[in-house]
Amino acid sequence: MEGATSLSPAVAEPDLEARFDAFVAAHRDRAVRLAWRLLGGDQAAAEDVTQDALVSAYRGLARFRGDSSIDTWFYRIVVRQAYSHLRWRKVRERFGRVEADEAHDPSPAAQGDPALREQIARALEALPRNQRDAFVLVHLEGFTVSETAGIMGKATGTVKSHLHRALGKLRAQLRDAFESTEVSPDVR
Amino acid sequence: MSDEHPTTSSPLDPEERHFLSQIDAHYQPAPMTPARRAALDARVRERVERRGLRGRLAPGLVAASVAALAVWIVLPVEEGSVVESGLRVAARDVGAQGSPWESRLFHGDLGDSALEEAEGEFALPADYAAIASVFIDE
Repeated sequence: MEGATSLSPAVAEPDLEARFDAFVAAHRDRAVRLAWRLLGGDQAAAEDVTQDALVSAYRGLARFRGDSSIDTWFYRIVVRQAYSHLRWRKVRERFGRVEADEAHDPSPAAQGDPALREQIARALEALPRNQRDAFVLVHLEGFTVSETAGIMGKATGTVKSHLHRALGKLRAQLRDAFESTEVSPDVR
Repeated sequence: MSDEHPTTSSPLDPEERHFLSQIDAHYQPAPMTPARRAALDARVRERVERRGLRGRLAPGLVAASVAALAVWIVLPVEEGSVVESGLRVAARDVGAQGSPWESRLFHGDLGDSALEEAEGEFALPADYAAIASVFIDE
């Protein structure tokens, strides 16, 4: 797992503060990106979710002993916090309580074509939660099926099944959107 | 991005890889700037430190509150005193308007069923309880 070495005994400082700083440096950007993708491109919410998960990780660091299990545990919190955030956002939207400053996110513009991004976000949002999580973790964030199974708390076979279904649905939904678009090599 | 086919463990076919690369290209945030990174780190650090301070103060505050409550409840009330014991005030205020478990609690019936009923009334739904167990409970 990317960044897993941050907690290996050889690298980790004995001091909790130093270990935490190393952990934040190793996982912050990836956690924000993962949350951003799970939250349909909401940068401010992604940073909030990452903050919450990092604060939880601080408490967890004292209990974990330098293996990579805290990485799995941390990303599990990110995924669950993102889901929790989505639920609350849907409730607020339903009751018209989305604040004006939430609607206008002054965060830096994301990469790629905005119209396509919106279509991808909608297609992902339409997937069942487990399919969406598995797809984002494996195909977009590069976690292995086994790591994803650990993060999601599911069997690897179940994760594979979610991936298969998610990929099929997304290809069907986004076929038209991508047919008219050529990805230039410098988009990323 | 994983090159492993999710169902067969074989490499993704070219069409699938192309499809995934398109999603990856168009669906990712702008890289975090150093300033944004520093701001996020500062907020995390502030919350960790605030939590640490609260954690150090909490046991003392809880102990002092419990002691004060115990003194207020168990101290004998002098004849003619304007101050009543906490338990008596609570029992009188609940009276007939209280819910069944409140009445039982304050009128002396502290059986298991009453406590279970009280807990059930305030219990979170299973999914919220699961979330709370991860993010709120230690």
